[in-house]
Amino acid sequence: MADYFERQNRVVGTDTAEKIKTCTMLVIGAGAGGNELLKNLVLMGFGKLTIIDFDFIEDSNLSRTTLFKKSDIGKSKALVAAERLIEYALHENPEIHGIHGNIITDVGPGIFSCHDIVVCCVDTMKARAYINDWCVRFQKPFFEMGFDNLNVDISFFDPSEKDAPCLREIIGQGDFSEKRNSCSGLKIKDTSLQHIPTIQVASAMAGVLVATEIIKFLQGNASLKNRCLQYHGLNHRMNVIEIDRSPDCRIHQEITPPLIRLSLNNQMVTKDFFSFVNEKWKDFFVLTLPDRFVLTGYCEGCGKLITFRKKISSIFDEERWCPECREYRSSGYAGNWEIISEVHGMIKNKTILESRLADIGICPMDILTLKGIHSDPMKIIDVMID
Amino acid sequence: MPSNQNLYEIRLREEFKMMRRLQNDSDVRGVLQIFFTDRLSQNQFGIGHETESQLYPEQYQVNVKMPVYTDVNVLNKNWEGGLSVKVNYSVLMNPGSNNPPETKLDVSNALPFNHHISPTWLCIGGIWSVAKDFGLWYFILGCCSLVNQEAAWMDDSGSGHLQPLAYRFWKIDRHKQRVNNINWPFDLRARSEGKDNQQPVKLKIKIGIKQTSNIPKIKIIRK
Repeated sequence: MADYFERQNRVVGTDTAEKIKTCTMLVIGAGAGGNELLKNLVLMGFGKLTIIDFDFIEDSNLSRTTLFKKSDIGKSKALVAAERLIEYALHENPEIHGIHGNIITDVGPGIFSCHDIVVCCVDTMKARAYINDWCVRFQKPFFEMGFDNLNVDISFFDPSEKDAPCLREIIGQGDFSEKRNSCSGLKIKDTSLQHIPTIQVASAMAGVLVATEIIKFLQGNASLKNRCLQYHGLNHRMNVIEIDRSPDCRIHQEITPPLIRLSLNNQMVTKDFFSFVNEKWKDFFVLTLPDRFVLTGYCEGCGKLITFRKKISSIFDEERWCPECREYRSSGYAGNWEIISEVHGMIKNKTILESRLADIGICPMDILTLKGIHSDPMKIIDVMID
Repeated sequence: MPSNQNLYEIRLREEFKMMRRLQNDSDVRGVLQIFFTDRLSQNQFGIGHETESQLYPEQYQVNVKMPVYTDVNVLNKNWEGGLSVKVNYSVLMNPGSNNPPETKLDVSNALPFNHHISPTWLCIGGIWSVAKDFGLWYFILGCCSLVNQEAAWMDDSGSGHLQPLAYRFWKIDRHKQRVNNINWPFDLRARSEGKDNQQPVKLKIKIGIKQTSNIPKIKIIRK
């Protein structure tokens, strides 16, 4: 068998070479930065990768993406990237999976717990904050990149270490939903958002810097741990900024119950789920949904009943327009939408109990909070489904 | 985001206590009537009622009763409206978020002549950005102050917003005055719990009536 990595192994050593083969990596975002990073990882022998992206390939992506071709336009970024990487992979048994979906709404956060390293190649602060927060919760090493014009920022945090800072120390405590949401609280189409100016060399530089730091981390020599590296392309200058944990960072103050993994999936009927957990922990449990779920709404103009059956974070502001009378009279979710945020065995809308968990917005690998109301103090359990 | 549901439940419990204190405050007792929706049964109860489980409410209904202008120089002395307010985890537990509670004002009785109110919309503006540091009770008082057209809460940018004529009437004819002289308890936490906020009772002395014996007699001695 060909030894593709003979020269590389002389640089990284045999221990690190073994870690490269076995470590599982979650890469979120398969845009320009994600393409460059993934290409580097696969050429270095990483083969256990999960790639998530909700976007489709557009014309403007091709000038910055090594994994996409003209014939890929309109296809899923994550799925095409995974397909192309399997062709390029030098790993003897590559397990490269693409997931077409949004990391916040379409995949449960349990996915973070199933990987050794998380790399964030997204372009929104909201997604960065979400990924950071779950990496802190699961204590996963977390690499982050960002770039615009000729400038690159990368950072690395290892929340498994005592008093380690996180990305929140840089980006702050907000939930960052406002930029992509209207005043109704619902999201707006990305077409109305401005894209930042960027160029291939910036994304290539980001991909090189993060891949280098990942290798150094596996060697035990990470030099950017708890630091942010800024590269200014115009004058080739680099700054390294130390990040300290802020006493005000609430992410580190969160006290969460231990996570219990259940061999159940989101295809289970909701009432069977309650029978199972009520019996298992001998209590009456109330399930807090990961996101509020909108069942129906009615138009205040013509009275038409509109069925949503979606998470509130998946509903666009323009969906408030009545498809029948086109009146923009709905007051949004405040008044005339039927929204559920909790489910239990006594819920009035019995159709919910007959639905599958997937039908009330629960994703694969979701983490569900159960509150046992017969215990004193209230028993709170976090469970993860498959 | 990972959530701290334990802390959330504690916060809801404390909000509930403050809503009870608000209801008991003598300054608003005749103006506001507060109800909550039980999380388990979805039944509505008066705020004095106990919750049906350890789950404290996320949703409140506040019936507001006070004179309100409904047109130019038309004061509806029996105006009643229903303010519905609902919180969730991200609203109550994320101080960095600007997402306000879900809020709706039922104006089916009569539409207030107020440029922050339309038949389907109550524009709460920046009330939550202030109220989130205090609690839901403060938010409710802010919304009621808005109905009462109190200058501190009203947009005065000149746009007229949801009802331009109402804006002109409030600004020019009524000189930005509030409708009712209500002493909202914005210092609710500083007020004593469960007691009426009345002025201290002064001892009344009536001339010609014999005083009780425990009042010391003062004898003026002239030298």
